[in-house]
Amino acid sequence: MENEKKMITLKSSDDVTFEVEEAVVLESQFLSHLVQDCPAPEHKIKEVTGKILSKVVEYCEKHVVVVVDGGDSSSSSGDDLKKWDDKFIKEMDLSTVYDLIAAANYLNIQALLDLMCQRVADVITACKDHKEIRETLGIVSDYTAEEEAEVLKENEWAFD
Amino acid sequence: MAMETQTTHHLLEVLQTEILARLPLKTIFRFKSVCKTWKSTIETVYFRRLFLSLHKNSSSSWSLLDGPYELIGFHGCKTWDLPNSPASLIPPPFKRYHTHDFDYVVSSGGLVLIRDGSDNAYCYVGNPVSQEWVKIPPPPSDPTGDGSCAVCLVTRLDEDGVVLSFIVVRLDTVLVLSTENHFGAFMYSSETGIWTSKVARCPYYISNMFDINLNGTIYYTSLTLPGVVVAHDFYSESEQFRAVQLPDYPDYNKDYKRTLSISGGFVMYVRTLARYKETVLKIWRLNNDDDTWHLLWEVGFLVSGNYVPMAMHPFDIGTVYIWSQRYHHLVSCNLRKGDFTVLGDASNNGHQDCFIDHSLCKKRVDKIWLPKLSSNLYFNFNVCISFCSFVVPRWMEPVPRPPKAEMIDTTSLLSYATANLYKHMRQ
Repeated sequence: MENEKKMITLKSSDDVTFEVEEAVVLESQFLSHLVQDCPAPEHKIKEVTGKILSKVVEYCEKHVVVVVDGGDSSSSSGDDLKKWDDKFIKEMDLSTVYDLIAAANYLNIQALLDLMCQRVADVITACKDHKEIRETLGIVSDYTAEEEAEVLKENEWAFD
Repeated sequence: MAMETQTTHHLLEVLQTEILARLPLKTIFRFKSVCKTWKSTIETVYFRRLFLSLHKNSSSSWSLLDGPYELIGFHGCKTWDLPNSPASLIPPPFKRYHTHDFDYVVSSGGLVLIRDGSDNAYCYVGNPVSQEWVKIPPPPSDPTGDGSCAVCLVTRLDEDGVVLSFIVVRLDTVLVLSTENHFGAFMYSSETGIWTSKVARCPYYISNMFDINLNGTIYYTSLTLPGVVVAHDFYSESEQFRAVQLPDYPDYNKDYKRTLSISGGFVMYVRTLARYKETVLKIWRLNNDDDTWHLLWEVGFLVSGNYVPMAMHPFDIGTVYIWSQRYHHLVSCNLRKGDFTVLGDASNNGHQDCFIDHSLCKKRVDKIWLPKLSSNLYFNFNVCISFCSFVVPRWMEPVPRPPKAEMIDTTSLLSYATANLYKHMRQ
């Protein structure tokens, strides 16, 4: 069985290699095209570090397995997958999330990008005010005090 | 690593739109104050469209009202993240109906019209969510407001459902002639901030001013002639009400229960019929351009015992709500799948939060659809529009601000209304 599956090696910017099944690579639009156009056994991804690529591979492997296995009871495996996704993002710090967003965007993995954007969205939702967001996301405000007061007044209703 | 973080921060800026568009609307508005980039991102049309497409399938926030009273309310909506149902956003003092008080009149496009019971000259149009109100001055030809009365509010929406403008209509005179009726009205447009007047001719007498309105047009069903709906577009130059014959006229079956509702940007004609062990729903859509009816659905549901049509889902044309006169419960019907759910059931945890005033529903429904005693054909063709949906739009822009108009927030309006009431009580 194992031997029938085509294996592909991915190499990160810092030369960490990952051997994965072709099906895993196909989760990424970018890598699908790359593998099709260039049938080399190893592909270097200069834009992604080993740390991040390992996360990407972990995510893609999980999602491929479920799609293959999920033939009979797709709804329960869908729930399992959601649980897995929740755990996957919960353990991550924000800087890893950012790097994964960049990687998912570059490698064109829509589901991972959605998941990561939602994670940042949840972090933002959990902030009680704009000051906390600035602190959490490291944003420097470019409002003058008057401007800020005006915007706050305009949207006062949203703070109830 | 430092390099990488820098590039990702740049990328994050690009993807900022993607991230922010996943937030509920209330959060988005709250955090316009984070920085200028966020504010300008949020205020683009691109962002609005992305938000709408990402939230296409999330639940919406709306109430079915009987006058100002809430029959059914859907809250807990992910699009907005509003804690309460929309009807509860309309301040309770506007629903007391004391003499000399401020009273809720009608809603359109998420905006609400309030009348000042102690000073007929002024009325108010506002958004209960954003709590901004426009003080509408009296028409110059009726400076005290005693000669006319603010009766309707119509709005014009863009393709995303955003209110572009509104018109307040004050009814001046109704002239009943043998051949037709003349409705003399003053109209205040938010675009100009000016009152104009027009006389609209209606071929039938409107016996009941309950209306539904959509995109500037108002619809009445209680007429001296059965089987017809009359409509008038207040944005048009026309001085005539259009008469639209109902698609099933003259099918007089005393067991039909009919209503007009609005869903997915169209006027819908909904009819239920109780059959042996099932209820058949037939729904027609009124085409906007040529006033013809298009049969959208004819679906039987395995529920029996006099179900009346309450309303369609404001955004989803595949969902309709019906009320059982026998069991006194509300059923949500999925027209696409042909299945249904009894709402308010503890077992039904998959459904969004829903408030149902069962006793009010029962009282109102039984009053409208009482057992037919009369053989009068007119009553057998009664199309009910007593209930009216108050819908929070899927996106919000500031209330259209007429030139020179005075703007007030909810707190000031409420304290003004209370002071006014006390003044009159003392007198």
